[in-house]
Amino acid sequence: MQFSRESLEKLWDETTPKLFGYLVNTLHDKALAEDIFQSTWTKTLDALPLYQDRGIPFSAWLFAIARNECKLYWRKGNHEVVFDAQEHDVATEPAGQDSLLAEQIMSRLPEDDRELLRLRYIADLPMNDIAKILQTNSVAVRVRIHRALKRAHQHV
Amino acid sequence: MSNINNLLTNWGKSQRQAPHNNEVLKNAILQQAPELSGSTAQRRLPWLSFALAGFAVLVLIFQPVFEEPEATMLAVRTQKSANESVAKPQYDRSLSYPAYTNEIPITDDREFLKMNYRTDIRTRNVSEMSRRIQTIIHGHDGRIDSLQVSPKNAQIQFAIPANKFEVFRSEIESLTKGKLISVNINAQNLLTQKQQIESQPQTYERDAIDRTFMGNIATVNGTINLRFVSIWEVLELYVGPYWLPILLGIAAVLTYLNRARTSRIVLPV
Repeated sequence: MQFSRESLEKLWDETTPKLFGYLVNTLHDKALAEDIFQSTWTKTLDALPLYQDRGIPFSAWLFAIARNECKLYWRKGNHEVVFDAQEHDVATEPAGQDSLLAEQIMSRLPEDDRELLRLRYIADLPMNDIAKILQTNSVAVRVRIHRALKRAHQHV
Repeated sequence: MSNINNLLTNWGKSQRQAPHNNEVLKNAILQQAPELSGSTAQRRLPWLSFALAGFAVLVLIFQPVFEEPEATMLAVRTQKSANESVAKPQYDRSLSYPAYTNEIPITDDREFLKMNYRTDIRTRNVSEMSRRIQTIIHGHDGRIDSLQVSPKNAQIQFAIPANKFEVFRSEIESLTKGKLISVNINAQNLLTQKQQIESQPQTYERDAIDRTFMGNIATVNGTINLRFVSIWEVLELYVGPYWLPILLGIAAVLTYLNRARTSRIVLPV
């Protein structure tokens, strides 16, 4: 697989809204999300010669690196910030009623469920790619997402 | 559930956003990327799957055509003379009555059938099967004439009353599955022998010969051969001649699926 400047720019344009949206929603801090976003891309480009297309799409690889960057950040003693709508106004546009409802539902779910739903709905990744990122199989991911949606439905 | 799915789909879309300095970041980061024109690590091909699939195709092409042995063979013939040796079984699936010759007029339609029974059984336990067969022979008032048993092969020659033959036969043939047994029944009409006896003057000696003759007719002689069967032979019998290419094909698919399943994301340090 060849990566030219043009193809990387295209990949950047395609993945950035999803990746940055995912990071903002995970970290609840736009400035921090920008830092992690930069370090993710820097590491990705540095490791580009090692990337092997063995049924793992580039976007899944990028998100796996981003997740790892978040874990490294938290491992350094920076605890995950609990979402607070007052303190972290992360929305770029005024949130609609549905969006607020979704945020409320998400805040009531366990972190594992939230992570799955972020990867599914913000990152818009297919089941197979989520399975690769979480190092499990696609059937398990399908079941876990189904259960997460069931739990989410209880909070509607 | 579809409502929550739609809600979260719209929410996911609304969450997507670019950093406020996206273009600046993009130019800065992508410019830092070393040797962008260079290629990444080559994609590793599933060579094992290719090899297995190729081998399967080769086996399929070069495998000789397999012929399944006949399960049951039955032949009936008329003996022309009393001195003629016992005919070998005719390998004919249909019940065939050869045409009567001029020597035996059709007006005499009596049948003095002398039955010979031969069975080849393939088994995983020759000695155990041999014991069971001996018990069955004795259970039907039969007599064992010869017995040879080794761990891999056995041969039992026996005689059994003709009136108990059908029950005996069904019991023997139920000992194993259809494809592991091959039965050959040979029946000969000893009408010429009978006619020769009848042509002699009625004496005490002739009556004795006739009794011996009728006793011979009333006895079925048989041979049961046992042979050890390997797992591969059983596979060939039941799965058919293509079991090896099928097995190789399955292995190729499994290795390919396993390769896809075990491919992990390698994260940069």
